[in-house]
Amino acid sequence: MKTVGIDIGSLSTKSAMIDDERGVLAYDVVLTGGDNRNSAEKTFQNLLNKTGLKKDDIDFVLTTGYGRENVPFSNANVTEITCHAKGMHYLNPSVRTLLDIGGQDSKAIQIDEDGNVVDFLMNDKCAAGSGRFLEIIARALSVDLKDLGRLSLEADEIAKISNMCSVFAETEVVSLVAIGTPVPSIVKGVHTAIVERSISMMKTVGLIEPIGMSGGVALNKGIVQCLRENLKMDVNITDYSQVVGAIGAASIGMQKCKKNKSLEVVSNVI
Amino acid sequence: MLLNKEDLKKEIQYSNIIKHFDNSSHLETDRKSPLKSSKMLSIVNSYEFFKTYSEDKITAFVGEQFPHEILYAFGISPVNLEGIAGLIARSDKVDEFLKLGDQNNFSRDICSSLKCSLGLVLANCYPTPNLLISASHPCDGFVKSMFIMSKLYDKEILSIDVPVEINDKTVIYLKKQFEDLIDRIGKNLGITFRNEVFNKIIQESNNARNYYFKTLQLCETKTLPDVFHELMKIAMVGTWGLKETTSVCKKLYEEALEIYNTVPDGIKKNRIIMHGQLSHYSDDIVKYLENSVEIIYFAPLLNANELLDVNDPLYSIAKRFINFSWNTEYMIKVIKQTVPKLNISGIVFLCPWGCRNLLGMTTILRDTARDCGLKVLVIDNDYLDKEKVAFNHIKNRMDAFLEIL
Repeated sequence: MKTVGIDIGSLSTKSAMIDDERGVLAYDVVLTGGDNRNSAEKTFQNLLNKTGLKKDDIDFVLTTGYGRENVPFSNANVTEITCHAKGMHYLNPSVRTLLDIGGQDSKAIQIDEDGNVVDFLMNDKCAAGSGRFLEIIARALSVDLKDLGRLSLEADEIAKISNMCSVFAETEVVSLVAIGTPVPSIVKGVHTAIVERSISMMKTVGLIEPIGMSGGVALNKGIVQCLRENLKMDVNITDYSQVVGAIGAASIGMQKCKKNKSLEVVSNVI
Repeated sequence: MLLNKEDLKKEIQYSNIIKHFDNSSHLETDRKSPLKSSKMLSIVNSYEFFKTYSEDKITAFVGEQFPHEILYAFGISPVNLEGIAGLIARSDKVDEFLKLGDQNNFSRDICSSLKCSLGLVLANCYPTPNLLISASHPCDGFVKSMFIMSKLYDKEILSIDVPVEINDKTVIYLKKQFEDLIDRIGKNLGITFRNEVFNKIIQESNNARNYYFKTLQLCETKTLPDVFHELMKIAMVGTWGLKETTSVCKKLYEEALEIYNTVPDGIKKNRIIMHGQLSHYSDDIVKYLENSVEIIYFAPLLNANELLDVNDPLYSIAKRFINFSWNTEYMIKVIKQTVPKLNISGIVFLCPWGCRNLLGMTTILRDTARDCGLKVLVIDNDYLDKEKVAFNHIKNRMDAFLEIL
């Protein structure tokens, strides 16, 4: 049995295909752009190309993320909060507190032993502390987004950056560059601002170990290191950080599919 | 920020508010209650509000929790500023008043309820009050707003200090302030506090609350459509002591009983408590959640616990005032009592921007709710200023909350 999860986020659309016996078969990431329906179709097609399968081979498609209700070929949709919890549980069932930092929002999620959400909290009012925030900072520093993690690990000092507003933070960064603050210190300062904000959310929902992190920002080694330092705890990262939500969606799809099949069996017996 | 004294005539102010209502319409999301008691309440509210525009009517600006019983004993008509902000929130012209606040240096981070009230004053839509009465709780921002208004109208402001703790000593402390307040109102306005009228008003207040309790009890075991919402509206208006309020509560009880006898046993959907500021039916959040859950509003739960002592009414009014002024200890008690009694599954805290009181108490109440086994959702919301709310962001949180329920 094969199911697909598609996570349509503000910046990127992620997809994953899982098999009930062989686990994760493939995953894919495309930019969402202005048409999230189109990005969902594109990433779905990419998955099929990667696995050599056809649409008819897929038993269930479950969508999540902000664009989850806008996909015509979706069999069901669930919020990304539930999907990230299920996805992390699928990949690492021991995790009890999950931090997911995506393009425009960050979430702290407490998970039970079955991968269900016990409690959650999301950022509000502003995208400071999200992937978009890092994009803005990278642009202001004229560095590549993917180099932020490496630069952060090179820092000797941490520049103080406010975490109130991403636009004002950009101004702060430009001012720090102007007075000769080393770029690694600025990057580490930005990471610290994000992490401090995230830890507040995690502590509010209840910080229970083991801790996990998901979302595109988990690919940034500087952030993960900063989180470990500030929490003084280990932080579990999977090989599929960016697509944890999509894997969770596929996993929920698998459960639904199995439930539907067993109902069919009961119905046939009756 | 000045008001032209020539314009501070009730005739002009009445004309201004009527123009506002004539030119506005209810939001599309509004829906009407089928209950007769709801219509009765609207008529009573309208009558009580518009009579404050009569030149000979003595009026006082007060907050939502202020005990109206004291003012009725003087023959004073209270203008409940927060309640009216809630009413204005239902019209599509609310932005005009918020902008007036913004344009007069009222920070965008200040609660919209206060900003809307000040906007209404600046638009010269309120009747000029004879005095203003403020209390240190639940909202210190409200005290500051009242102070600004008192300067604009050039009227005296009387203030009381509401203790945080509740015990015999603090209740007596507040009771003494009410006695002083009664004395000051009398001297300030040259009017008399009529004890015999006050006693009748206390009895009337209790009569209304008796019907209120009985209606609430009917809601414990069965889903009674629209009834809890009416209880919330009555609590928001706070006109305890009026005969008309007793009639509304009696009618609501009769209608609730009729529904109770016709609907099947049990609760149809998961029940959640809705805590925080919200406006009647015009709120998209309420409407969206009601598709999946039954909403139990928090205000009626607070109001359902206190009858006034006819032998020492000021003592019991003081006690009620401390409890109702968003006393966190009391709220914890109410949540703990309500969860098993009404079979509650979750709680939504609506925290408006700029309301430090709600944001502060939510921290504690959230823990209480979790200890009671409730699923919790905290929403940053603004029921007046739509520019501060992105429904899609909130919808995502609500969907996740409904999933975990």
